[in-house]
This record gives sequence, C-alpha cells and structure tokens, in this order.
Amino acid sequence: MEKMLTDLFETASFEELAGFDSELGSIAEHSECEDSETVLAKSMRKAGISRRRLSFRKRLTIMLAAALILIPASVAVAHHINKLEVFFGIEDGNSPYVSEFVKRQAAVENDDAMLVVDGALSDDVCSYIMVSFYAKNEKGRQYIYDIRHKLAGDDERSAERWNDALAPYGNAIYESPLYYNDIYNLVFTQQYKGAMVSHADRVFDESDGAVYYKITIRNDRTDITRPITLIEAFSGLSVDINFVKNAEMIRLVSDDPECFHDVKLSPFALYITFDERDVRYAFSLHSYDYAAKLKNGETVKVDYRYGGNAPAAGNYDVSKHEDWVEMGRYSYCDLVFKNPIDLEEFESIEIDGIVYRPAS
Amino acid sequence: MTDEKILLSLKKDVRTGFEELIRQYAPYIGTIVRSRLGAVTTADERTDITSDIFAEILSAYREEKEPITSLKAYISVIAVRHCIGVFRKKHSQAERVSMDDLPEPSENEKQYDRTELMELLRSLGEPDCEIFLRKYFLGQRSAEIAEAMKLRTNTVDQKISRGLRKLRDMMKE
Repeated sequence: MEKMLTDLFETASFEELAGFDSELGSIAEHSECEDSETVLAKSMRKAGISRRRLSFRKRLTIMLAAALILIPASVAVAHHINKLEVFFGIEDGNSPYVSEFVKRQAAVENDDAMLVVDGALSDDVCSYIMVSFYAKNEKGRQYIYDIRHKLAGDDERSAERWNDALAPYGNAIYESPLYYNDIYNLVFTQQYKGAMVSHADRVFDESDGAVYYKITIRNDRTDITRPITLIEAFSGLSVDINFVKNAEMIRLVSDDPECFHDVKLSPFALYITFDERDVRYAFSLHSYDYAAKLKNGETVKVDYRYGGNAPAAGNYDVSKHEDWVEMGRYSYCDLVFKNPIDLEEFESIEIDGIVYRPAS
Repeated sequence: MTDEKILLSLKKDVRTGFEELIRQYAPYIGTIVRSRLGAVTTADERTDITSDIFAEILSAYREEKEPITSLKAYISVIAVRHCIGVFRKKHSQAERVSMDDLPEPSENEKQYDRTELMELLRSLGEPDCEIFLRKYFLGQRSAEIAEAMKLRTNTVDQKISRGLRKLRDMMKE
C-alpha cells in the first residue's frame, strides 16, 4: 500500500493533484523559506528575467531629495569656511608622542551657527574627521548637516566600511559637540582602547587675542610602532570651527564620599567622566532623565545625552572586573541641556540619588 | 496574494507575475525540496534547486496551452518531479523525469485504481489527508510532519498506520 501511494503521488498529474488543492494550500501556508531573497534573485536570473528597476518617478524623487540635502549643505560649508578657521599643526615626534595638532579658535564670533569638529582614526586603516553644523536659534541648537571628511586610507572604502573597520575600537562614528573651551576629553581618548591619550592646553595668544587649544595625541599602544595615520591625516588640513562662545565651566561636587564622578558643568551640558571605582554608573546613567534645579526654583530638563563606555563593542567582557576597570577609564556621559542655562543661576542637579552642587 | 491574481499577473506582465509567484511560493517549494532532498543536498544546493524549479515552472507555464486550474497542484507536480530527477541523478540511477515524459495511464483498470485511490485518500478527511500528502507526496518524515502540523510524532504514526489500514479495507470492498 505504501509503495502504491508513493508511486501514485510521484506520477500524479496536475489534474489529479488539483483535488488536493486545500491540503496543498495548508502546507504552503505553513511553509517557511530559508532565504527567499536569494531564491528570488537566482530564479529571476535563471529564468532570464531582469529584476525590476526603480521607476523613473522614484529615481527622480531620490535625485531631488539628494539635491535638497546636498545643496544647502554645500552652502553651509562654504559659508562657515569663509568665516572661521582652525589650524591643525603637526609635529612629528618619536614614540610615544606621535603627533600634535593645534586647534585655533576663530577670532570671529558667529552667533548664527556653530561647527562641531570631531574625528576618528584607526592605527592602520583610515581616518576621518566629522564636521557637524548646527544652527543656533531660540531653542538652542538645531542640527543641520555633517560631513565626514576622509583623511587617509583606502579611497575605495565607504563610510560603512570605515565603521566596520573601526568597530573593534568602539564607536566608530562619534559625534560630540564641543560647546566649551575645555576639550581635554576629545573623542580620541575615548574611542581607542589604550591607543590614544590626549590632553588639551588652553593657550591665549596675546599677539592676536586668539585662544588656541593645543591638543596632544599620544600613542600608548606598544603594538603600534609606526607613526599613526593621524599625522598624515591632519597634515595640511584646515577646518573651520567655532565654539559657541568661550563657555565657562564649573566643577560640581557631591557630599557623597562614595561618589567618584568628575562632573563639569557648562551652560550647555554636564560632562561626566567616571572613575574606575564607579563605572557601573556609566551604564545606569544612560537610562534616566534628569533635571537641573535653578536658584529661582525652576527645573531645567536635560533632554539629550550621549555617552558611552568607550570601546565597549566587542572588546569587553562585562562579567570581568578588570574589564569594568578598563571601561571605567574611558567612561563618560554627557547630559545636554535643551536650552543653555545661566551658570550663576544653577543650584544643583540630582543624578541617581546623588546631588551635585558647584564646588566652592 | 491569491493564485488567481498571480496567474492574472503572469498573463499581464511575466516579470511581475513571476516575482509574485516566487514570493508567494518560495517557502512552499523550499519545503518540498528540503523534504525530498534534505538528506542529500546542502543548503546552497537546495537554494539552487528551488530557483531551478521556479525557472522550470515559468518555462512550463509559457508552453502551457491549457488553462491552469490549480496553481498549487501545477507547481507541486513540477517541484516533486524535479526533486525526483535530482535525486536519481545524484544516485546515477536514471535520467531526470521530464515534464514531457509524464507517464499516461494506459490501462483502464489502472486508471480506475488511481482515481479510486485518490478519492479514498480525500475521504480520509483532515488532518489525515494532509498527513498522507506530506508523507507520500512531499516525502516528509513523521517527525517533520508532526512539527509542521503541531502534532506528536506518535499521533502522526498512528494516523498513518490507521489510514493505511482504512485505505486497504476500503479498496477491498
């Protein structure tokens, strides 16, 4: 009987099988495909049918959208470059000092907009600098556009490839508004596990009254012996930057003896870096909303923040204490105010039960 | 999407219709290929075979002169025959059975038996009929059938055993 049934179905005609249409439908309905897109592509190719191209209308829409994005962006770039300037000076040196560059604050104050310069690099793959444009308005700031200018490396690589290449080092693309004149915690320190240590010295140039930031990048990775691409990357590059203003910065302290945060407050944001003894805060802080209390009784909501545990992606085992410690060295959290606050009006801010007040 | 719409779509614009057919039936054909050839092929090979089947379905459709009354039956027959052909080829037994080589029942008695058996199978009702179809048409094992139909393997085996007995009894009558 079994053989009969097997033979019956193996030789069944279309008409015979049509009698089982509902059962076949049930089987089809409960079937799952492992890779339907591949099947589709291969089937179309084997059948000699090309896949459908985008309609003219869709292509036109995409082109128009691209133009709408690119044209204002180009205008914005040109506008700012004419007004402001930053010089990156490179000073080659022997290990451990790899390079130095100087950011010069523009003498021209621009009340309409600001640029945010950020960068990333890897030891041997590529480097880029990201310049973000923000317009200032009554609500504070509004993101306009950013360019990710590739500085070195393989020209064929796309931004996505850069991300992939940089992923082992942590957040490949990091966007950090530099609202304030103390930029010691520039992105480089935070993105590369042990690779870079930087600090910035604020320098006042009496000759022209400009403020410089001398940023030192140091290579602490013993496995990187050759000069880092950063040197070539920034060499000869001129990018304009405008800090919103020479923002004041005050340090906040807490009465809590167990609190090891280093908290600095500018009119625009709270910048919190974490001691290795309280790295766990670095995670918890990402999950809550905070409000600063002003002396007049008002509260100011912190509506945007970002931060991280530096090169968290794939490099750390959170179950290991030593990794926590390592992470803590690079942990940070920035809490950004929706509207700039007056530092003199600031009274306190409570973060996870710890109250911070200006250091006396 | 219904079969009628896919057939209509194929008639109006082969590219659109074919794409819709694949999207609708890729999982089903994939299941047939997996059931029939899972033990002797890799996943990549099965993807290739599935796409071969779709190409064959389109080719057969283009040459088809009669209207297709059941799209599911149509593609099922092509898929199963294709799989049998691949299996035999892999075992160097015989050439693949072509669509054109479909054996036509020549003897009246045999024709009667086939028709009767088909009707008896349908008379088993659900879910037995689907179980038999899965086992003897798709070549699925009891465990696969049980998983697909959310039954216990024992239940599937019992239903097959009882169904076979029932069919045998009914054929004797």
